[in-house]
Amino acid sequence: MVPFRITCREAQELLSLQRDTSLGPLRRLRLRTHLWMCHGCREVMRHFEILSRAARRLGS
Amino acid sequence: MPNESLAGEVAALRPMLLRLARLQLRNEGWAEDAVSETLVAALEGLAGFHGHSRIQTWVVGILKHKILDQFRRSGREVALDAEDCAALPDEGEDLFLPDGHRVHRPASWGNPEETLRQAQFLEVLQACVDQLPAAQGRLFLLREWMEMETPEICKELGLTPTNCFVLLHRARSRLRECLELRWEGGARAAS
Repeated sequence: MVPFRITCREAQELLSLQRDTSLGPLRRLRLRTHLWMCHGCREVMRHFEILSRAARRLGS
Repeated sequence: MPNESLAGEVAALRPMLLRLARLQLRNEGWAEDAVSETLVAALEGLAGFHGHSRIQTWVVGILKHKILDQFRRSGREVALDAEDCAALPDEGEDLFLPDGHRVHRPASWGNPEETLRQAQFLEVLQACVDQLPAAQGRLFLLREWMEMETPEICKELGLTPTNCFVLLHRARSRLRECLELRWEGGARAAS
């Protein structure tokens, strides 16, 4: 499904974007499909989550 | 009369508050002002502190309000920095190959609960935020530390949503690279 294929660079942009706004159905599907195939981007998703939780702990 | 030992505890928080304020505001004078206002407000409000939370958590909560006041007073300057930063090309481009694959394979950061309990992780994170361009660092902390909603941040800084999203993405991407390099549990830290 060529239109659904995105690169790791694009996936990483969406992984950040989804933390700040809603992606909408098409981009969400593209990202989900990419993550299903890509171990590295799943790891980056976890890293972004840890960054966010760590930042909340500063000063606590 | 406010409890004197509690007042001492508040005063002792000053270095920690100053570090957080510098990190978020990226301006020495603004940070000093925000911390001074925080300490005054905390000492005046001590009678209202009932010990339901830790004193430090309570004072950091006050600091966040004072930081936001400071951003509002300095809005123009902060907005110009952010616009400049968004207009620059992304120096993090070399993290990817021309075909969109990463140069370095991301490694596991272990169990998040355990990673987050490590003081060293938070230390390195602060050092990494400090190395970001000022606008990216401010934006990241407004979003993730102050936990503001993105539209609210864009409005405060006078940025278009697109520029906001781009700067947040650059900040996160650089921070994870920085942690991979400098945190002991990161993939490429010197062993």
